[in-house]
Amino acid sequence: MNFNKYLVENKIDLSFSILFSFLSSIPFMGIIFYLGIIIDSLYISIASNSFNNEVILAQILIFVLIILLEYILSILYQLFSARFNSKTSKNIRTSVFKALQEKSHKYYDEENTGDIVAKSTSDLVNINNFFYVLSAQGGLMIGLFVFILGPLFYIDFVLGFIALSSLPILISSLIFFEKKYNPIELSSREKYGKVSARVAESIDNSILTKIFNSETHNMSKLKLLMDDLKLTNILKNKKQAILSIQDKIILSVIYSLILFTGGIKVINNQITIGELVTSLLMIQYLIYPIMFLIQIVVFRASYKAAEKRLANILEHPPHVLNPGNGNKFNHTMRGEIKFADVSFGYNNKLVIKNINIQIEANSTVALLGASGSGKSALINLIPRFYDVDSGSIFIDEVDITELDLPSLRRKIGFIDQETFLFSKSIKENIAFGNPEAGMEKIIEVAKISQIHQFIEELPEKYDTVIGERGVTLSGGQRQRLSIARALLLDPKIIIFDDSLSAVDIKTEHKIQSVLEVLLKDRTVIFITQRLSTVLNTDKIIILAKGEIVEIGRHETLIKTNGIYRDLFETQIDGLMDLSRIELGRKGI
Amino acid sequence: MESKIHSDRYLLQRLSKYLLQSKFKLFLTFILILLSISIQILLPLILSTIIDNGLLNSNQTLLLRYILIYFSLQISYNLFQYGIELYFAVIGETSIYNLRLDVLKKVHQHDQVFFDTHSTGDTISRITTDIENMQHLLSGSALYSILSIFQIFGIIIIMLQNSIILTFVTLLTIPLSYLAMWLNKKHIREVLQESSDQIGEISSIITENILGAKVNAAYVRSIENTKEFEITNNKLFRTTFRANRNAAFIQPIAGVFSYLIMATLLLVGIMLRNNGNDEITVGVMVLFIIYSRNLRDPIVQITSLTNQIQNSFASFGRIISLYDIHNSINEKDDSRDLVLKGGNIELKEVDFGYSENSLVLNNFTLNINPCEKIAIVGHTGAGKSTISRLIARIYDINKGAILIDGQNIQNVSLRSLREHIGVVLQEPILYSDSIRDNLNLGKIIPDEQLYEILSIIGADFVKEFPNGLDTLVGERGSRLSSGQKQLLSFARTLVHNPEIIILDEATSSIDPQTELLIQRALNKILENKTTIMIAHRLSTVKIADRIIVLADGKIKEQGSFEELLSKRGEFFELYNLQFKN
Ligand SMILES: Nc1ncnc2c1ncn2[C@@H]1O[C@H](COP(=O)(O)OP(=O)(O)O)[C@@H](O)[C@H]1O
Ligand SMILES: Nc1ncnc2c1ncn2[C@@H]1O[C@H](COP(=O)(O)OP(=O)(O)O)[C@@H](O)[C@H]1O
Ligand SMILES: [Mg+2]
Ligand SMILES: [Mg+2]
Repeated sequence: MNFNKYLVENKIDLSFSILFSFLSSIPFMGIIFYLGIIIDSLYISIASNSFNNEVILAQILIFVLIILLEYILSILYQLFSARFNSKTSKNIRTSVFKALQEKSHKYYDEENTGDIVAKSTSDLVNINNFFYVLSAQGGLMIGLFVFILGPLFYIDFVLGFIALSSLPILISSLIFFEKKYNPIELSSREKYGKVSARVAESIDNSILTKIFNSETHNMSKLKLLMDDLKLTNILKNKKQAILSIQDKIILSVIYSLILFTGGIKVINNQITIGELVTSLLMIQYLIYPIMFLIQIVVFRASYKAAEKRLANILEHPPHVLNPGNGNKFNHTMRGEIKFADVSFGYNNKLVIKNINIQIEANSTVALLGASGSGKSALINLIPRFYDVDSGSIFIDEVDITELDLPSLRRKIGFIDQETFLFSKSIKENIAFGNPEAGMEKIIEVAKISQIHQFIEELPEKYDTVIGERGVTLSGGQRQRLSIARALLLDPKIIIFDDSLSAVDIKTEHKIQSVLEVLLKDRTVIFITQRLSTVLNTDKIIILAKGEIVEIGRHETLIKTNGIYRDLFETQIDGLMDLSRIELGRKGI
Repeated sequence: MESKIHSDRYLLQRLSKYLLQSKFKLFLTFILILLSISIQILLPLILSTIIDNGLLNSNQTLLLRYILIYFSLQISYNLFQYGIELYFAVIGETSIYNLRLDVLKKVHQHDQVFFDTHSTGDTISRITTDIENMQHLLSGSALYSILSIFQIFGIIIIMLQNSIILTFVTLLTIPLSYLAMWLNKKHIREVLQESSDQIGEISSIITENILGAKVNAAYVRSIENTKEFEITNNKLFRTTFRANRNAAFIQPIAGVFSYLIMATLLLVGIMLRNNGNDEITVGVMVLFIIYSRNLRDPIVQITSLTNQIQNSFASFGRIISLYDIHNSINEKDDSRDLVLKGGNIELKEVDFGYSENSLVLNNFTLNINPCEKIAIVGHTGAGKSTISRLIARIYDINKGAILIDGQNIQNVSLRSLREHIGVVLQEPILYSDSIRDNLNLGKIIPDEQLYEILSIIGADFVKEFPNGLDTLVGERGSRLSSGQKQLLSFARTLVHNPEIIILDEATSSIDPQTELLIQRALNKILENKTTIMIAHRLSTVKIADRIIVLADGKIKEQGSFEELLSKRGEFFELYNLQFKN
């Protein structure tokens, strides 16, 4: 992963920030240099007992001017760096958000929400901190370095050499440190992500915790993760402290050496006392670039960790790719679907095995099968939430991987088995696929889904904001809203994944009779557990363990003494007949 | 959720608890800080001696001796600093750990209304990011800044011995730095709180879009969502930019002041010397110049401390609002454990609504006999799930009473109540743990028993997984089918073996044949249990002793399957719809 492009995007702010930061080191060192000059004048005056007031006054005036110059330059670089920093952090956030939108379902199956949130908030901050110190302080520190060593050599070669000799030692200590420190930082971030993920789950699952009195259990799981994080962080801080004491001791040695050598030189009249004071002050200031280097190394470790952690968001292309110039259905879609030798699995475990189905345009197909038989997996392949492992799916005889992905999805009304609503108003939720839809259209689909009346009874009607994930609605209300949401797209293909499981029979019946007209010229695939709804379908498909075990119309299937018939009888009347259950389980 | 701004004193009071948990370490650091401050005061004094006595008198032995002293002091100073840094880290991590633990404990005590009304993402952000922000304050590094006031005193004493006038000039640093600090403090708190709130908002937008990723994909929403995200993102950009811009002007001021003081010092020193004051030597001037710079350090430190405090307090304000319990479900002081004697449940003239102005249940009365199997059917939104939540006291009723074996549920301990009642929630909830952990929830139950229950309800799929009970189910059970999730959630309640069982559409996603198997098994398992079954499929409710037809929070019909059919009312109509063929 490379974040350099964000640096380039804001290169003007960045360059000015570094430039002014660098320039500000000149007056910064000027101040110290001038102090030495003034002290020398003072010394000469004292020694010769004759004060040249004008010269000293002029020197002090220049001193003040340098101070003001430094102030102005620091304001300038801080301003540019503030803008650079706020802008890049905004841009990176946008990229991460956009990338998350493009991620396919496989990604979300494997990641934890809380960890993604940690990555896209606090790891982003770490990237930014690194950029910030570089942009704001980098120039200044380089400048300090140059302007400390330069004058030192100018004052005296030996003094300069002593100061310079610290450099290789310091740098090698940093390199050594970095090697050890970076993995610790990464593991600290990973552990932080785990804590965050567990925290998110605990909040989400609050009601479960209440019902099962499982606070203690949950807290002990959290505690385990937190203990781990704490220990890693302490270790991390220890390493930092060791590095900083190492480097400080090196500096102390240098300082004393310069004091000694410089002192002797003053005694021998090789340099002036003012020059020595200047040198000492400069060595004291050398601590800044050194501390800066330490800081950079530490921040870079967080940056590297963030880079690694964000890589699977920003770098890996989505599993499901939109073809470059895919077919956009400029002609109208007929809605014929064909599965040809389709196999699909999660993590190498096949759940769809070599399936062949032909679904005619405008026909209605029911999909039956035990839980886990692969029904949802099969229909998830049509809007390409996942891509097949082998075989192909054709719509109107075009392979769906050659279709423009957004156009494909817009033509499909997909009502998922698990309803998800956003904490927006009911209106916005229904119009989710087409925010421009008019109110009449929204009301129309709400009426079809038998949810209009309920909405009208709410105090704020269609403007009622529903809780996160729709918590303030009952299960059936949510399902009906999600049906309305799909119908609003006016899709050619509609897929219901057991979307009426929480809806009562009466309402279900009403919805069905209204839908009947609407669905006439559309292709419909629906999964259900209620057999009463499959009677009039054009085709019934029964899946078992990822394979088709029966296929046909009700009339034919009921006559063959097969699984369908068993199923049917089970639900109609065989409530207590164990023998029949046994029979049925053999098949499914 | 906007957070209110608490007074500093109140926040400090609540924070001190966490710092004081590491009393001993804090004391040690206190000593180390005092030691290193003393060295810091001494060093310039030695330097000044070196200049005046060693260099200007050309005394090499003296020079060497003083330099050795100087060097060893510096090394001890560094060692002390190392100790301080280390202790700070330990204190900080420990305090953060304890704070987070406390907050999480409190959050677990919040009632469901809190979770219904607060965005998950924002709450996560408070527990993670905001608590991280407390690091500085809780590490005790504040202590350093406060103790550096001693440095000021030490410096003043030494300075006074050298030159009174120059001392006063140097001391000008203090009011000027205070001015800089004051400029800095203005508005910064509000800005910080604003940005923390906005970060919370960002985190909740991200959370919601992760959870709704499939819907977003299905409805091709990326452009609209990004647009919406950009609104908050831009707000955050403006807030942070504004904060940094103000800081650009204010932050360097402390430095400028200190240099100006140096200039004044030089000026005054020269004037004094000019007027024949021979206290002023080159060494003394160097001493004052270094002190005026050193004096700036504690003051800058205190300034940045106030910044950090503002920053931490802005976050702490947000944390505190989680800390303060939102709980309307209280246990009475004299609450006793629920004693079960058969499992009779009585709802007496119950009124309940999620909001004041609309009642879901209105004067609702229902008496369930011990060990009775009762089924509730009714249109969606009739209040079926609500009844189950009320019995488990997830929400409190507005009026009336709910009694279990004659004991008002508001008078018994929550733990005992929920121990005896098992609710299979309409929406199965799973942790991203192993299947075993999801079934146990901390209770120690042998694997054979788990497998036995799983096989009773036809959840044989677990056995077929290569890792069996160790299979990780993914967040929210994302690696399972919906039916499998329901089965696990069902099994979990059976594993905990409560006396009263409420099944809220517990088999709605399960195929008819597995359901039939479950029913056969349930007849045995539920024999001595009071059971409430909520369901739509009539085949599911057939085994009930009594069926209640609920409509708009009222009982419309009740009776056994046969009785209701012969009544030819609402239930009969449902029956016809489902079995018309
Ligand atoms: N995201 C996933 N990762 C791994 N396995 C999965 C995932 N989703 C479903 N499965 C497994 O795939 C099989 C088929 O699931 P699914 O198609 O949802 O069944 P159903 O027929 O009930 O809709 C099940 O055994 C389930 O455990
Ligand atoms: N947490 C909640 N906050 C506000 N209203 C709610 C909440 N949960 C349910 N409701 C409302 O209360 C009514 C009854 O819901 P519920 O008991 O879930 O119905 P059901 O009979 O379908 O289970 C519905 O109108 C629903 O919108
Ligand atoms: Mg499914
Ligand atoms: Mg319900």
